[in-house]
Amino acid sequence: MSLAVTAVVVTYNRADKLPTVLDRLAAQSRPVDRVLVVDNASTDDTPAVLSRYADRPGVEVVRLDTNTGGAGGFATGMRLAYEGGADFAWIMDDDCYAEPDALAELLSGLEAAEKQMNMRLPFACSVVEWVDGDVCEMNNPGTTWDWGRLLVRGLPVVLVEYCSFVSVLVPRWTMAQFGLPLSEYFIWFDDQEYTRRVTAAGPGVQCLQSRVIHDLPVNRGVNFADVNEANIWKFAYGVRNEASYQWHHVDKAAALRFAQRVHRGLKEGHVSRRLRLQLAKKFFEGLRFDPKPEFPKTVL
Amino acid sequence: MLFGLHWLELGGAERWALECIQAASDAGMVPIVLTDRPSTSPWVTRPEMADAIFLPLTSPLEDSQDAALLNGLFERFDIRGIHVHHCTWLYERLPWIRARFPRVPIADSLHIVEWRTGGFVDIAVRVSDAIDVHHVVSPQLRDYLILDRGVPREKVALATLADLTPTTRTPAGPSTEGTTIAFVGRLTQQKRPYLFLRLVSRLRRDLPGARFIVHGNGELGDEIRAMSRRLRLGDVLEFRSVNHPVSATLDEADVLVISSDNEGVTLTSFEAAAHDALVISADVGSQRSVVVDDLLCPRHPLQFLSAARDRVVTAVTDPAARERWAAEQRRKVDAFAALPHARAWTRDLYKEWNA
Repeated sequence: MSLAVTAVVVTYNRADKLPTVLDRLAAQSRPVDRVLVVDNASTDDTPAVLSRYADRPGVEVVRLDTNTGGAGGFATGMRLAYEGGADFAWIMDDDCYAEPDALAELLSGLEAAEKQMNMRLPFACSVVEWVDGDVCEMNNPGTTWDWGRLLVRGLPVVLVEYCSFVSVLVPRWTMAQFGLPLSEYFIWFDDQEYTRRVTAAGPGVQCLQSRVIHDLPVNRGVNFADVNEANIWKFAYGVRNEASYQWHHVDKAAALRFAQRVHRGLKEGHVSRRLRLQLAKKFFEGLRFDPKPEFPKTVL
Repeated sequence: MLFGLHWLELGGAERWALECIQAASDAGMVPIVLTDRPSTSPWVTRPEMADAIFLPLTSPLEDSQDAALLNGLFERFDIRGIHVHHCTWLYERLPWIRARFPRVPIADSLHIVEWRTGGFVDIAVRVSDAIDVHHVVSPQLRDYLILDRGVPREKVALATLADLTPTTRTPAGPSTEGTTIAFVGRLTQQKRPYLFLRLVSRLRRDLPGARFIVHGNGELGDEIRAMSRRLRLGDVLEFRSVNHPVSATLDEADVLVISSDNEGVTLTSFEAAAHDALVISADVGSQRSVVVDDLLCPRHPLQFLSAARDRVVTAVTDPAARERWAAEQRRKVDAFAALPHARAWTRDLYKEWNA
């Protein structure tokens, strides 16, 4: 029985890194059945770069009219993967370089974990390294309380509650049961919200032998002490989205603890009052913001 | 080979069942065909039935007769496989057959999710332990069995009936007789021909000069004709019986409207696409697999009428939209046609069974 895997790459103005991403996908030991590149209306050379891949069998480019953010791009790509009949969507950013066995290890790790747990598991993610081989700070999944349950049984997988969208294998049933990522988030926390949402069905797994490299300019996690004029727009989405998630889908106290964490970070970073005020407004916006997921429909 | 059918009368499932009966003969097996519904079995004279043994059951059978019949068949014949096509009686006896003759492979063919009553799909899921493989004709059924009903993926085979429809493309060219909008299908509750008539009564005002065709027979025939008279549609609406070739109607049609309450995936959609007619359909069953997204209309009757009216008018009056939809329709139909085909799947299955 063959399972169809559609790789979904969401890209925006990364013409320099995209060819490596696509070449690494083409070099998988377990071939990808279809590669879907969602171009979020890039304004650089991305269309020209992608045109070079147009003749490759199994590679399809979907160019959106507007930039829908990572969240919108992943929602579109996963919807199209589902409509195309994929058994799995393998989702990743446009600066994610998959090692040759990344997909094979995700598939075998997930299958072995499901057999051990005797249940369906809603996603499998890779270990994400930075370009120097160290762990990528931004892409560490959150583990469950019993994260080592399968490790002690000899499987190279750990149980996780959430992860980032840098090499995540999402089974068809997960999309059918829980829907797609929230496009309205635009960017930041869409991955955490989605993976936390789908773990209502059981834990996800991180397959320790599936490895990818995340080619970020610097290896640093999300830290509110880093807020400045240039990056405030991104943090603004992050605050609104996480406030929304904690308030509406965890509990009110969790949202307040999140506010406290943001406040502490901003204070430590000596972030200006004006930027703090902007983020405070976004926090309150998040309390009134509660988008609902779309569900994919069967086509093929 | 033992086949279970509803009856030997017109129907999509029965058309496919006859193909399978022929395939069994071609594979060198004797088809034994059971039906469980009262019928005059008009298709018994079809060439596919020439080498078949036909057993029309009259229900109810007594319990002892069940066993006598099935034991007799298995004693008299070397039954190599069982293929159930919409036959409740045989479905319900599969657990017994599996227990009594565990080496005999069993398959069924499923066509439509009966979302109101459960229907054959529900029966099939209940006796799934006794079935080796469920053949489904649409992606929607595949997902329904695997994702909604928890049938193991390896037991579900998607193989479409796309190749059962003539695929010769006959471009209609510019129409010389004005716009033609057609309904093709049985006049039954499932197809909701009365919705098409209500649509016609609205469209005749929107599209003066357009003509409309209802092509088909069925239990609602008298009601639909009376309704046509009541709505005074006689001058624009033509009724055609099944004696008239469907291809002729589709040749004339610019737009085919499918107003059904439920469907699997309509073969008429393929045929219409092959004749370059645009298909506007209720968003039911697996119609989404072959109909352009913009041309899918809500199932609810009033919403259907409103959406279908809007789409037909646009399709007729906006050449750019029509061209865009026609291209998208060709892309969708071609993608669906590229899925595995039921004929080849069945041929391989029977060959394996008869090995």
